[in-house]
Amino acid sequence: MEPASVLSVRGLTTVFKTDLGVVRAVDKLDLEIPARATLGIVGESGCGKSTVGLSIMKLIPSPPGRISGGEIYFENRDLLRLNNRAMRRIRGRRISMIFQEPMTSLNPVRRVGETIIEVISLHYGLPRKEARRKAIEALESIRIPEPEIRINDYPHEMSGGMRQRIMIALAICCKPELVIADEPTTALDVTIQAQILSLLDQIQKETGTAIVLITHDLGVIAENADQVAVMYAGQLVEYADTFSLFQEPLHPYTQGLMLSVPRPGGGGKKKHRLNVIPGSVPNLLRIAPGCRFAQRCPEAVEKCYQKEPALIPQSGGRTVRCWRYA
Amino acid sequence: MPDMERALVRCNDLKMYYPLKGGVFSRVLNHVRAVDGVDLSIYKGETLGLVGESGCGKSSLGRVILNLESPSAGEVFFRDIRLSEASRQQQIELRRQMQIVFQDPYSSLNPRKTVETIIGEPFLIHNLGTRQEKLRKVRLVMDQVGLPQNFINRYPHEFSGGQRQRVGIARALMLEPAFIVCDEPVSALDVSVQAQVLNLLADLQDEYDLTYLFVSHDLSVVEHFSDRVAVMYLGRLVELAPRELIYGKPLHPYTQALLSACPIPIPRRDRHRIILQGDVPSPINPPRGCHFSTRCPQVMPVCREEVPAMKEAVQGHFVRCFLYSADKSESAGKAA
Amino acid sequence: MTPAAVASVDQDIPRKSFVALAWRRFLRHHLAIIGALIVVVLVLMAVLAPWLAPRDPNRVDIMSAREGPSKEHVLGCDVVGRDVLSRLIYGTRVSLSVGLVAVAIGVLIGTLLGCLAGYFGGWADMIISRLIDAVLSFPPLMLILVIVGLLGPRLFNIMLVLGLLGWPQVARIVRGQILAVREEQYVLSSRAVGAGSRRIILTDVLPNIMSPIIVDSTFGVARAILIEAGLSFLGMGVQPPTASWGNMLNDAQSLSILESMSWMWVPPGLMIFLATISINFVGDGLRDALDPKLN
Repeated sequence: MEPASVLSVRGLTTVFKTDLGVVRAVDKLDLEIPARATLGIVGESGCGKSTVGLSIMKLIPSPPGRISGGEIYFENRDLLRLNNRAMRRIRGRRISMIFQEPMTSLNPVRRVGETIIEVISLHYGLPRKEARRKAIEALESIRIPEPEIRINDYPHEMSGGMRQRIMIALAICCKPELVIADEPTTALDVTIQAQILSLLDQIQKETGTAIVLITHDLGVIAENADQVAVMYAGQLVEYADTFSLFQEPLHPYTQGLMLSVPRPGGGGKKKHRLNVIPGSVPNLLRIAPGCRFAQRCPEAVEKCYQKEPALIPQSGGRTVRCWRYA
Repeated sequence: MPDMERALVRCNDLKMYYPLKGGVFSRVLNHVRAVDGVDLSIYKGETLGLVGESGCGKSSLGRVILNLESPSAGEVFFRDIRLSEASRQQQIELRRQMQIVFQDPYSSLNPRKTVETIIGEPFLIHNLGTRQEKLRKVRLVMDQVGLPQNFINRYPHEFSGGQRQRVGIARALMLEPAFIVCDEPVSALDVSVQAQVLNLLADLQDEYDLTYLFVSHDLSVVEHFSDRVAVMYLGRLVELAPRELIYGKPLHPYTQALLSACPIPIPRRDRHRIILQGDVPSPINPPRGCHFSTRCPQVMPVCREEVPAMKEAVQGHFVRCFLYSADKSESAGKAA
Repeated sequence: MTPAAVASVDQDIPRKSFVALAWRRFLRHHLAIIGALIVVVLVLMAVLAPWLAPRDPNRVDIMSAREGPSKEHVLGCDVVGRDVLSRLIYGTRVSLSVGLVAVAIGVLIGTLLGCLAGYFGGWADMIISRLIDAVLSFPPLMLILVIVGLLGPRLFNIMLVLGLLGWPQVARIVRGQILAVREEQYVLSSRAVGAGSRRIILTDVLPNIMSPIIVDSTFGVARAILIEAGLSFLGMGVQPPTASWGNMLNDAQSLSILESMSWMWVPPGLMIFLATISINFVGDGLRDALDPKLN
């Protein structure tokens, strides 16, 4: 049974103009973001996962980027057709985003409370005292001790973990339907990462907000996502629920990726050579016909070099972009 | 401590305090205690992994061991030569023996130099031969690290992160060192590229009998790559043991928390998580007594007063914690 | 990795060195291209002056004094009958050479001192920084007038003074850049393989800080040209009979000339304006082209 989707991406294409030509960072992407659950988007650098998040928020820097095609349906409206004013009402209020680097995402010359109060005032139109009260509530909900004092701190007075919590508070203070977290813990220490991910999990349980978790870390995906979308070279190559994906990865890229990660208890480098996916990511300026992974795929056959596979549905709501499963 | 005589590299009570200047006359106000008393031995042919989170001092430790910075206190010995007393001649020779591979492939290579210059420089600096010999060696080393020959005249910005990291490794190999500090060499790389570079480092170690100090915050990578692992927290080593022991049965509460926090690519929602409260204290004003006492789920009164010593709890497994100290009851009695 | 970085990973994309990439970026700056073309024309004028100038610029001809543009004198004559056009063309030599030499002196001194201050820090930095502050505190015009007054208004003295006034700006830029670059990993990497300070400064540091120096130098040339023109206008710069755009303006100072003999002051004024603005455009273009953040 398919869960209801909070947001549907259809045929999204985002391009960037560079010195050497036009790069299609996201190429005709179809994605359903399930409500009240966590969707993990995993992939390596340049696969387009961050671009997807920025595209949904319509925050693509333009120039050099541009959303050149597709639709993004949220609450029966196509976000890509909305004007700036309408989009601003959605950002931060219905859909919000958490970025990787909390230090540069917070205004260093403003107290953190000011930033939160501003967002609340903007979207709720509340008088300042009310907004301040709500801001303190938001800080409490992310388990910041002594929120009435912390609200007056400047970003540089806080640790990385605290700042990321502030970012989360900013993201959820208006109780959005969807939170997009773009590598929210990559810049943090492992023990702090555990705190933050546990916090996101708790928030989801309490408010029912849908979360899109964008990361390159398979471990984070395994432990925090309900559904997983694997991206490669601007395309979605596999989609499944977490258990199934890790139990039985279908796409050769997913398989290769999982085998290249050192496993605990794996025996160490002397007994176990890490699997290597030969070659490198294809040049997005010159996309060859056929499957984008064919050059590096151990299972490629002739068809793979000629015709690009579509996303082929499998059992259990899974899809995979590979001719082996046609 | 194991037999100190056979070690290739030895550290004795190493301390690295960085002064913080301030005020109108740039007085020294305080110190960042990056390395706060480290004893360590690294044996020939082994890979010693050094894990810890940001601010624990692992990168500083690596640089002090390499003589890139002078320690504030304590000694480093390389093959029993005391680094602080080495003559200029010895220092130059030592430079050749100990090398480093850096973390960030995007800033560890001079963007204005070609690959040939970058890799060949060490050869020129140490006057190891003629230009032709240099070129031959550069090509040889490029083969060994898997860089195509036609890259030789290109610039770093033309390469991917993994390829740049190979250039850095090639450069370190030019001098045929015995010991290489790998300072987070794969942290900035994609997963599939990480695997390539790790395999490369492993192959080079076999071929050239290299000794590695492998510094990283990534526990799974360290577990895979190291023979022994040292865990560092706020400038001090808290646990040191062979790989299987540290991961199979971690003793120090910090190591336990670290391991439980580390995400594993196996979906298990029932995983027992030790979530530490609070943030890592600042290395400027570390807590009294055991540095971990402010966050330790098993803290005892003595931990806040005294510094535990590094003790061998099990054969080959060292831990700095009062939970394993034979005389803890004595200290607990004193503190009560 | 940005999409651009991913795109260029492939081996068979034709490789582009810094210069090629910078050149491409420069070419997108339309104003800079126009400026560069004008500068090229000016340089040609200066170099080919003996062949381009229709007359001897210093030849006095009282009979033709104050004559307007005619067939023999395309831009007319000045108060003592010298051909304005020829003086204009020869004046280009003066302006450009002052600009270039003054900047060269400033860059040489500034880079040297800035390097010492930035790389070695400590006492060197303290002394040099205070020196920079001191020189920058002097009112420049007064200093120029005093020194030129003392040493005499010869062309080289003007170049020297401008250079001595310009070096602190360069030194500051160099020092700041070195402080940043000094902490870069590739500098540490060079130390790790045993490189000494001299090698590090020459091969690691300097090539990476050239961009801001080049940009500042370009603007410096424009500044120097303006100052020289001003000095010559005041009579403290290049002395007649040598032609300079500035002293041509000086000769045209009387009210009657200003009102009715515009051929004597409009051309040199226009040249000063043209030279300055085109060099500034080039500087703008260079600044954007060389900005490493756009890589």
